[in-house]
Amino acid sequence: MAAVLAAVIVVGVGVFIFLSFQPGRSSGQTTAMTTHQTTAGSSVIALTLYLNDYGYNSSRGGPRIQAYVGDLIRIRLIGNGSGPIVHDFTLDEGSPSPYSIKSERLRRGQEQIIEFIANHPGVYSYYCSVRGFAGPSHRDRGQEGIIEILQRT
Amino acid sequence: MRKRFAAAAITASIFFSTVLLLTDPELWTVAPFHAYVLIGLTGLDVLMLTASLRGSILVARIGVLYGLGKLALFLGDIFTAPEFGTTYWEFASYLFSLWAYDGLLASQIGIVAGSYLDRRQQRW
Repeated sequence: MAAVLAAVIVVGVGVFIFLSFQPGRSSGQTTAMTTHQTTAGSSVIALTLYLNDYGYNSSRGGPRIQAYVGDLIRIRLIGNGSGPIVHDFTLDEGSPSPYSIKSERLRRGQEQIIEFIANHPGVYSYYCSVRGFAGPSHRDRGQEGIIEILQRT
Repeated sequence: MRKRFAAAAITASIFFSTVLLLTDPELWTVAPFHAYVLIGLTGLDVLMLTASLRGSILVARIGVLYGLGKLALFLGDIFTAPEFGTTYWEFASYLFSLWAYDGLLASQIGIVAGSYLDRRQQRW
């Protein structure tokens, strides 16, 4: 019996050490591209956000997104979390904001394009809504950014 | 006589399971089935703890197998990695980065060792 216990402990410790020293994944692409296309009075704001652990296009926070009232905001979301970790893009009453935008929860490699009209001026937070029943949420870990909708003069 | 070694380890196992269920967002977001299994196993832990505290010889008899089985189950979770579109190494790294998961593994070893010691104590 003692031999079995010793074997279990040795195997457990061995597996732990072996797995702990595996090389980490590559950080992947983390740059955002923003383009403006002028249409009749309003613009299309297009950008790409990589949903990293625990930030947008970085490991914390996210780029400041600026648009004018009436602009169409088109965001290409690319999941880039590690392991089983998923992330999303949320702009809703929790931001707080008058918008109700929530993407799917994307794992690494999954993509989604979300579009919405910037029709409420103000400064709001977009964030990742993944959270447990207790403990720090992804937002608490820094996964949020600012979106600023300016009044067109 | 109460089986105090195994009871302590089972209590730790219940604690770490509860922490995992409450604080690991991915568990509920990505793998709710795993969460339900963990709830079931925690329920079994509660039954085992109750039996142990009541002085039942059940824990001393089956505790070693019980702990080994759960240890194998928790380590075997790593092999469900393809379910989440990730590699075994990445999934293992994720799991081992959770202190509650590490504690859960350690407490299973504790259940095995505790049950063994309790049984030996009983013989004397």
